[in-house]
Formats: sequence, C-alpha cells, structure tokens
Amino acid sequence: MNCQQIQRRLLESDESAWPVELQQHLGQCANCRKTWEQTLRLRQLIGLKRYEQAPPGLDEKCAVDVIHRLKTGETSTESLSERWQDFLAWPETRASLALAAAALILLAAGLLWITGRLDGSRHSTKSLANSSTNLTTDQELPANQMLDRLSITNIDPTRIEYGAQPSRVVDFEEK
Amino acid sequence: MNTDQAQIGALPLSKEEEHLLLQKALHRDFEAYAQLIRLYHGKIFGLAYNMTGNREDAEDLTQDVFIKAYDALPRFQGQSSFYTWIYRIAVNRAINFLKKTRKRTILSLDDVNEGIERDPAYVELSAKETPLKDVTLAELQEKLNKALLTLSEKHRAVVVLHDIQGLPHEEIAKTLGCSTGTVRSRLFYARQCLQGELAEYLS
Repeated sequence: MNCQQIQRRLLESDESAWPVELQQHLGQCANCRKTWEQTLRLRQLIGLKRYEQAPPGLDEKCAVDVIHRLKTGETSTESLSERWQDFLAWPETRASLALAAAALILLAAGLLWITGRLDGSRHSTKSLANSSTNLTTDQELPANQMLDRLSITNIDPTRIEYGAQPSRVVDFEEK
Repeated sequence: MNTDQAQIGALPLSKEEEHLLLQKALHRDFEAYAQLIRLYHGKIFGLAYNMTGNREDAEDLTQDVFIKAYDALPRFQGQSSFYTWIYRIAVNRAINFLKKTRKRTILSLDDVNEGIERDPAYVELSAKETPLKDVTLAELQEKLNKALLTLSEKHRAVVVLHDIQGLPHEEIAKTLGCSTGTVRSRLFYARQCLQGELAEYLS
C-alpha cells in the first residue's frame, strides 16, 4: 500500500478495520501519521455533537402529539409522489420490483421462444411439402421447374401467362 | 468512548420487552407506542436535528417519523432490529424533507449536555495551546453545524450515523440500503470536506 492508499483508508475506516500493513506503515511514515492525527481530531470534534440534547420534556410532548394525531387521523401530510418516493426508498421494495421485472423479462423471453418454435415447425412443414411432389404446392414453383416435374418437354415456359388459365395460353391438343 | 455501545446498548429494554411493546402497538395499544416513542425520541430527534440543522424542523420531522413508523408497523417483519428499521424511516424522511424544502437552513442551537466539558476529547481539544482554547461552546456548535450543512444529504447522513450516533458501517449500510463499500466511500468524501471546513481547529 502506498501513502495515497493508506490515507484514503485512514479517512474511510476505523482502527478496528486496519490491516497490519497499515499499522506498520504508520509507525514509519510521519506524513501518514499526521493525516491520522488530523482524522482522529476531526472525529473527536464531530463526535462532540452527541452532547447536544433535545430540550427536556420534548420526548413526552412528541409522544402526546403523535398519539393524538394517530387517534384523530391527522396523519397524512404527504402527497402521493412523496408516498411513492418513500415506498421506493426501501431496499426490500426495490428488490421486489427488480424480481418482478426479472420475472416479466423471463416470461416474455419464454413466450418469444415458444412462438419462435411454433413458427419454426410451421416453416419446416412447408419446406417438407415444397420438397415433395404434392401438386398443391407446385403453384409456387417457376414454370420451367413445374414443366420439368411433370415431364412436359414440348412447351415453351416463357409463353405461360401467370395467373391465367393454362388452357387459354397453351393448347396441348394443338402440340 | 465506544459510541457503538453507548448508542445501541443505551436502551433500558430487553429485546423481549421491546418485542412485546411492538406487538401491543400493532394492536393499536397507543400507550405501548408512546413508550416506544419516549425510548427512541432522543436518537431520532438527534438524527433529525443533525440532518436539518434546525430544531423546529427536527421536531416536526421527528413526529412525522413516528407517525410513518406506526403506519408501517404491520410491514415490520423483524428481519432487522427495530432501531435499524426506524432509523431507516428517519433518514429517508429527512432526505425527502431536505429535498422538498431546499430552503436555506437557519441554524438553531440546542442544549448541550454538561457532560461535554468532562469529555476527554473535549478536554484535550480545548486545552491550552490548541486552536479551540478561546472558542466558546456555542461558537463551536455553530461552526460544527455549518460544516455539516455543507455536505450533501447522503454524505451528511453517513457522518451523523457514524461519527455522532455511533453506528458501525454494517448497520449504516442496512439503514441506508447500500453496501458497506458505499458507506466507506461516502465517509471518506465527507471527512475530506469536513477537514477543509474545520481546518482551523485541526492543525
């Protein structure tokens, strides 16, 4: 640990949390020892504030006033947003909300996955059907492939008009 | 002085007695709740006073804390101690209050327990040849209050809970709902600021 790290440690922690290394360093480094003395003095100075006391009788007055307000229902002095802020300030609330959000994300991911699987299986069925010789799906094949599949070799596929009745375009009898 | 013991162990009630009072209060026994108020008033008022730097605000805030705590009592599950729980309410209320008011705090000085003059730290700090030797208690109080009020609410809360109320880092972390690392980091920054504010007394 260097002097900078030691001095940070002195300011943020108490003696009970000091590692041996820090104690040894203080024995050798006058600069860090000075920082420690100042920190100790600061803590003692601030600590003197614990002698400030509530005026005598204030605890009893507070108890009487609070119980009166509770009995008469004069308790709500805060707005909705303040209540909401108070609600969110509790770590348990934040943890519950985080859990709920995580559960929602998992649920959404699960739904997406299931939907994806269903779409995938529909797509696979379609591919299977396309690869078979089922004529109902042949409408999606290009004309030349369809003619090949039907072993028709004497028709010019460029003459086939899509969407029209084949009989109006190609006269099999004629050929 | 070990302030942790002084603060936490100062309650004249055992855990069982406190639990009994809480159970009674939960069943709308107002006298039981009044007893709890009397027990914790000093600590909560001290926290509120040091957070706001003002006695009148501290009085209002203290009442609000006890009312809020009574409303929330059915949700107190006993996972933490009652004092940690009510401290948490007090700190949250104080921070909300300070955010809401954002007013220039008017310092008011509270009574100081005469025990301060016998405190070894005070005796040492105000001894001859130190910068504090010519400073009156009232002046010192004012200076300390002003220095505290230069800190942000969150940094002030850590200093008040640790250096004044004597809570250990772990309890402060539970009270503020953060990690002990965050507590230490805030303490580091706050003390650095306070060293600057009170430099004249630290040399």
